Amino acid sequence: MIRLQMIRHLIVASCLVSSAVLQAADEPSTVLIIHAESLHTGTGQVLSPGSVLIRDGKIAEVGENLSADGAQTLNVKTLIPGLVDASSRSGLGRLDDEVTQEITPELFSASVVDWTDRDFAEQIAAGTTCINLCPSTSNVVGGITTAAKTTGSMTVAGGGDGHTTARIVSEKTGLMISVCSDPASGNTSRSRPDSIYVRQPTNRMGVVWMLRSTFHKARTAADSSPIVQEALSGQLPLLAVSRTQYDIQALMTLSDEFDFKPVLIGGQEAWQVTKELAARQISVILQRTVPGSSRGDERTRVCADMAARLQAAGVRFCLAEGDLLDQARFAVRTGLPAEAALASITSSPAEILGIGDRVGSIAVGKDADLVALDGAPLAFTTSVQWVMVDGTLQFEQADNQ
Amino acid sequence: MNRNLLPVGHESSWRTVFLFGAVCGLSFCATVDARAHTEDPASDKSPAQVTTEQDSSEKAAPKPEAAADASKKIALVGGRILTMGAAGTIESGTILIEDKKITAVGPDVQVPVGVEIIDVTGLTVSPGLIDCRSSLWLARDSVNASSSTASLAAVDGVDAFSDAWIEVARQGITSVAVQPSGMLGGTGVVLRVAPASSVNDLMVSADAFVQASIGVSGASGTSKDRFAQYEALKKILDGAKAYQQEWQKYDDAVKAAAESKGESRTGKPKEASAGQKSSESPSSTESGKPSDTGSPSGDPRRRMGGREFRGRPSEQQPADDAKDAAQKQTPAERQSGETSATQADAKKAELPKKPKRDPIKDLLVRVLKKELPLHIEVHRVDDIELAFRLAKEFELSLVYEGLNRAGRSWDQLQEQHQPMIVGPFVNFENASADDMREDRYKGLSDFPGTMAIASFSKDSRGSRLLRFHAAAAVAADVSVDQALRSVTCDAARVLGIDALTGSIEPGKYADLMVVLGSPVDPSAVVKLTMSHGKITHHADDQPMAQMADADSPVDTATVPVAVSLTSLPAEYAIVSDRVLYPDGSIAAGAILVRDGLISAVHGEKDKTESLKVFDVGRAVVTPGLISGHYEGSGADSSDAVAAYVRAIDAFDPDNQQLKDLAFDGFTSVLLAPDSRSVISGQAGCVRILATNPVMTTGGEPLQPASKFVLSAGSRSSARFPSSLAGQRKLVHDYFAGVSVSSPLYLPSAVQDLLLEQKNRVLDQLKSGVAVSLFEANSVAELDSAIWLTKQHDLKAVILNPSDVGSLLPEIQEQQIGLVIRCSQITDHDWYAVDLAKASNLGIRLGIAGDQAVSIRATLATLVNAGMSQQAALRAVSSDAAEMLGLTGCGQLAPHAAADIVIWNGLPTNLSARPIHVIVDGRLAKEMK
Repeated sequence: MIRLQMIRHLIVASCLVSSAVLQAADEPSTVLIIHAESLHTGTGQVLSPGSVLIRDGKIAEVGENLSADGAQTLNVKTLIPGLVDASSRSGLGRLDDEVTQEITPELFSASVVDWTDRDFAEQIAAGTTCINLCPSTSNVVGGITTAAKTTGSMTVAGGGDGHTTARIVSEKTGLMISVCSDPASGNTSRSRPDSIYVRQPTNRMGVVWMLRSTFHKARTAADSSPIVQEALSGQLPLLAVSRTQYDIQALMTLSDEFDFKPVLIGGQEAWQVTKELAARQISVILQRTVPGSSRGDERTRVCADMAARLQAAGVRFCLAEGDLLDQARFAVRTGLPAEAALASITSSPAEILGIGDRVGSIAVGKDADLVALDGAPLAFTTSVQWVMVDGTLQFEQADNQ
Repeated sequence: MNRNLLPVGHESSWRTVFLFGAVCGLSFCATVDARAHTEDPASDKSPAQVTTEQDSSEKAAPKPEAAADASKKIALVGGRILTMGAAGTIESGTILIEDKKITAVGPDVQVPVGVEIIDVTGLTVSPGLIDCRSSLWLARDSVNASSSTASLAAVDGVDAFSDAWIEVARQGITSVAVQPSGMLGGTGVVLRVAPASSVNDLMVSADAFVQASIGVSGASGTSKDRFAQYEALKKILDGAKAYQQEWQKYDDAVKAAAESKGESRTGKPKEASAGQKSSESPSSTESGKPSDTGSPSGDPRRRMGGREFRGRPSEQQPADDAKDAAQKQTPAERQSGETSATQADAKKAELPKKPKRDPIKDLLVRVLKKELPLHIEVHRVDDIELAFRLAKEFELSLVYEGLNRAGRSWDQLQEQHQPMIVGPFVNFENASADDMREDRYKGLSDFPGTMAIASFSKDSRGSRLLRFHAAAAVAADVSVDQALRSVTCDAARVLGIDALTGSIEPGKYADLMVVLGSPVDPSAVVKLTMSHGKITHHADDQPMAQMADADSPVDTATVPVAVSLTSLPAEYAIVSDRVLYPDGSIAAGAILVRDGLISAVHGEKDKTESLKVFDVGRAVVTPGLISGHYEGSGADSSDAVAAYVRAIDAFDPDNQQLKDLAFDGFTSVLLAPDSRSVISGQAGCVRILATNPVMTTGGEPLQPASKFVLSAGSRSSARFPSSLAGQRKLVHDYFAGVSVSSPLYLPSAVQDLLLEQKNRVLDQLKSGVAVSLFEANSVAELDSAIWLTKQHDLKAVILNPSDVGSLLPEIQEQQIGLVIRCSQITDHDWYAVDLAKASNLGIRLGIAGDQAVSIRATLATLVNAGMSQQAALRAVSSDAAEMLGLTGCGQLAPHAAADIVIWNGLPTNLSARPIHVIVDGRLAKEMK
């Protein structure tokens, strides 16, 4: 315990006791220019050298060699945008799922996040500045996903009523549904119910049936859930968790039937159906698989070059679920072009979630969420030097002084 | 986040100058503060006397040992020294410490040049406390390791890297005894409370005693089981006795044979004398006779064994070896004896068969020979009788442990003059009314033998509550002096380590605690703890909030209360030097009572005219105190919405627990519905023992609060909600006026009634007339409670928060009160520190509890963590009343019911107790 706290203390101390130059960056109102030997915008563009001018926590200018009167300057080797994780359960881990109902479209998981959770500190240290908080997959319609910064105030979070804090990037990034066996696992059919509370569905077909009936109701009944209506009409992305190719097929059947364009979360076997995905312009939030294993969740067959195959087929995708830099490095090793790999953890997830106007790339007007590295972004020897969120330094490598 | 390690300023009155890095074992805190101290070199007012180690090493460069840790010299100057030895109490004296030990104690000790000085003026120095029944250092899976064959040794279960010692040292404890459990567990060990990298660093006494118990583990409530345990113990000891006799017989035969042989032999006189006793039996080279299991062998702890020697192995090992050699023979000599084949041949014919060696029986033989004491835990009268029988039959030297329900055996125990280890006095781990019987320690005050008080904790950090147990003993009529002896010198005597520690005398180890106040007042802050001359706790290193009372110290002393209130007339006045006022201050005053109500409160003692006046002197007069949350009988959990439940409807005036609360000074409670429904209903207010206990307003029962449960207790997978998100939505909808219907079938008339009631309650909650009581533990739950408060502009109180640190600004901003659950063994110190911080920010606190002693222990913990005495007193009186809407309770104010408690000390001091409890102006009970 004490040893852990010591480490934590060291991290905090190193954040507080920064070098003189970096301390200036703690003042978000100051004009700050960061000069990088190479600047990766996250959208495939590389400036060498490149510089960024930050004013009021936003990127005000991007160029080769910027200067401004009275501006503080910082020099770094490599600068990339803050990473975006499109699927995360940080701060939600220990809370029970609402399993008393199968269809919970109004559920806001982000409202019950423990913002003091250690997960967030670890993510910041790994360069992730924005995450998409997802409800659990135990319900057929899980609830609303929310994009939030990994650091910021500890104040009370929003509750879907417009009372958002600065930490929330977008309160509603999508409605999450589960087209997989998760909602059915553990439920068993009985000839005679033991209680009036019998949870459905009990199998995969049941999952699809519940979705179908929910969608049908949303289309036909006026008093049905407005969130589901919004999602079906395309105003709100429908994020569907599917891993096996037959679940992905079922999702596509549903999408054809109700004419919506889902975003796929999981997608371990998406490489088997790349043509169909590309044809329907379905984006994929690719969940991590353990490097070297040939089986993913739900015993899916995975292959090492999944990302490269999706890229080759023209499917828009991003990498998600933690350790983004390492995941991108593995993807490069298995054939994904480096700039595409960097995009898959920065601009791609931001675009897929519809928050690209604020995060995911280094461009004028975007939030100053930046990560400084000491080498090529996707080299295994490169490490994170510091992480900035909204123009404020939030993490600094201890030996970088 | 980093609450344990943030260095706090050291601007306290307590001045120290010394180099932490060299002295302090607290590696991390030490380095942090070392920096702070070196940056601030001139903080002492008497530079002439002060020499830091840095200075001395510069000046006395030729002396090489100046830098060495071993020659470290420290002087504690100016403190009130409770030596616990022949010197008694020294009002202002100096303790000189050199090389782990105390070298001089006295009022006029000269401090030599080059000695580091710690000024402890205004503080009390006592020997470090000793917990005779602890679980510190035991690895988690070793705590309950039990045996019936004495096969275990506590030393084998020690986890020397555990950091539980930090919080224990923070409360002044320097030594603990740990032991296995079970009917006959095995060997106990006495260990230090200090940082360590191996068990040898901690060793005070290796095999200190053998542990046994009757009726504690493995026995049901029936006497039959307990008798079976006695029989089993007896059988084992019989076996050991037979074994002892067998070996005796064999040794005698060997001796006789050797003598006859020695006479006939001429060639090798030296060898003959050397090999006399055991030369013929190869295995006995390891242990000449059964009692010699402590002789040299490969096992380090065995090497240190024996009652006569209890030192650290590194220092005294050579001496021990030498003694062994002198007593017996060196292995080499024995070896040479063995090689003599002719002798062996000759002996075989004459000797009886050599008995088999059995290490466990060897151990028990040492018990039978009274070389090792047998600690036997017995609580009930029948168990104690069985222990008496065992002691008589085997002529054992027993140490009786526990004795929670000694009852009529007490006289016999007193006659026996055997040492005792009593406790726990407060059962923090498994509180039940049964453990808190008042007459439990009847006669404890005049016990003539050696008595130790112990925590009996099964938690690794449980020993930090030792001072609570000592204070509770004082409340149970043990004198302060005896209570202190029971955790210092007498405890050392019981454990056989009194030659090493337990008192402040030259030659003893420098095991000390420095405290601001009385060592047996758990609310008093321990400023410094020292083990073997090394600092193991230093208040200025700790994150403890600065003492809020430093400027205006409160008189916390306990005093004898002589005034007897045998019968109270309809009109009278109580006057005292120490009256608790609503702002938490203690000052002189007079309370006028007429017809069960307080008619006036005067700020001066002499403003009482012709009334019957009871002057209680320095006794403390408080209003009847408040328990901020008491759960009534359980409601039906199948429904998440139970807004219609009124806790007051389930009130039972004969509830013994509530009555005991009142007799112990807590006369009012917020009676709340249980926590199994999310919207769990309305809480009421009860004045226990009053003629009309249920408080009313306008003819209706007073319903000051409604309870909402956001913690796990109201989640159920059998109904909505089973998640925090669901709970939050449900409560939000309730406040937003969305119909949150109950699935119960009810006639329409009843439904209308309930709806009308619901709307009325909702109006009261939203207008802030009634309190919204949110039960919330985790950060996310607290976050939701705060959000709901903000959204609906509620007057909120949060019940049972477990981690408030990061949310204090929000809680302060929303003016949310906190009702704290009673301190539990699992609470880490930072929890109390956070709450003390909250209190110092102006956040109001209340305490929830079923037992007065646990509520007061919580108060003491909070004061110890930096909360002011005044705020602590308000937490059980005016603050609790105001934040929970208990109008008319918890304040000595005109027109309030005359619920008055007269204490012999402050309620925050656990060693004080209520002397008289007055409810409705009448005496509820006379205690002494």
